[in-house]
Amino acid sequence: MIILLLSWEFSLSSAIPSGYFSQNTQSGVSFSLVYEKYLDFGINFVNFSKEGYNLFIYKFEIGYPLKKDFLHIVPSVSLNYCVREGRYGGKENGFYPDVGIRFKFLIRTKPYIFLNLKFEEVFNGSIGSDITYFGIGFGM
Amino acid sequence: MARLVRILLILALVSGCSFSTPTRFASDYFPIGVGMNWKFQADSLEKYIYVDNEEDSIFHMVIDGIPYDIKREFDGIYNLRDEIITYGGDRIDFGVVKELYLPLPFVSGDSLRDTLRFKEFYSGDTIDLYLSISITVRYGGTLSLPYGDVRDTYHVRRKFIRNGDTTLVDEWYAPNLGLVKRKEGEEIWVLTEFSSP
Repeated sequence: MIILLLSWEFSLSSAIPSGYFSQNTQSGVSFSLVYEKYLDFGINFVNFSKEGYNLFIYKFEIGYPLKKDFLHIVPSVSLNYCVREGRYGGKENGFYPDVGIRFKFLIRTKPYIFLNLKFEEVFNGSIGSDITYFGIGFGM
Repeated sequence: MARLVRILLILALVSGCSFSTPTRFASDYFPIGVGMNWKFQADSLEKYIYVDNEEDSIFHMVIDGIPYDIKREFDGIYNLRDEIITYGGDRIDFGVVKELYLPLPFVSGDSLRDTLRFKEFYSGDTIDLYLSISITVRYGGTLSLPYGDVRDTYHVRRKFIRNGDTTLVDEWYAPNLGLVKRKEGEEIWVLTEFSSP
C-alpha cells in the first residue's frame, strides 16, 4: 500500500552556531511517499529566516522502514540542497548528506493522522551537528 | 528492491565524506572566548592575538599589542573604539564609535559599505571625522599554513578610510579557528599556533 503524507515540521538544531540565531529553529513542509514494504521517500522544504539572513534547505530523503504497522521506524539518509542568502547580496549553495532515524506514529483514521519524530545527524567528518525534527500531518 | 535501497543508503553515506557545505554553513568563523590565543609568523617576527577578558559581552582583545573592544551581535562582529583626533595640539574626542568589523555568517559574494560622519565644534572651528568601511567576502578554499592545511576558508577584504587615509587589509578566516592569515601592505601574517582554554 502506498500512503501519501503531507506534514508541517519544525526542528531544533545545533547545526547553526547560536551566535547567529537566538533560537536554532527551522520549519517547513514535508511530502512523504511511504511504500510500506520497502521505501519511505520524502521531500522537505525547510527554511531559516531571521534578521535578513535566509537559509533554505531542500531535503530529498530515502529510508527503509524496519517496522511497518502503527509505528514506522525508518533509518534514512537525506541529500540536502542548501541555499544561503546573505544580508549583503551574497549567495551560496551546496549539497550535503545526513543520516537519521525517523519514528512515524500513524493513527489509522481516514485520512491518516500521523506524528513524526526524527533525529538526524549532519554527516561530516569534521563536525557532528544534531537536528531533531518534530512533525505533524495527515496522509491518504 | 530492498537491496537497491540498502545500496543507495550506503552510497549516499560514503559520498558524504567530501562535502564541505555543512562545515561552511555550521561552523563558527570567529570563535571568541577569554584565554584564546593565536600566534602568527610575519617574516621573522612573531605576532600575537589573545582575548584578555570579557565584560558585559564585550571582549577585550589584544592584537599585536593594541587593545580592541569586540562585541558579537546577531549580524556580525563589531569593533568599539574611542575616536580621537589631534587638532592644534589638543585631543578632540568623538566618543565611542561602533563599527562593523565582520559580517557573520560569511556568505560568499557579500559586499557592504558603511559610512559614518561626525562633527565636533572646537574653539569656533568645525572638526570633521569621516569614516568609511567597505567589506567584501569570498569563499577562500584551502590554505596551506605553518599551522597545517585549513579547509573552507573565507577571504575578507576590508578597505578602511579615515579622513582620507586608506588602509586595505586582506584576511582569511577558517572554521572554528578564526583569523588564520592577514595581509596588510607587504606584511603577511600566517597562523602557527592556536590555543583555546
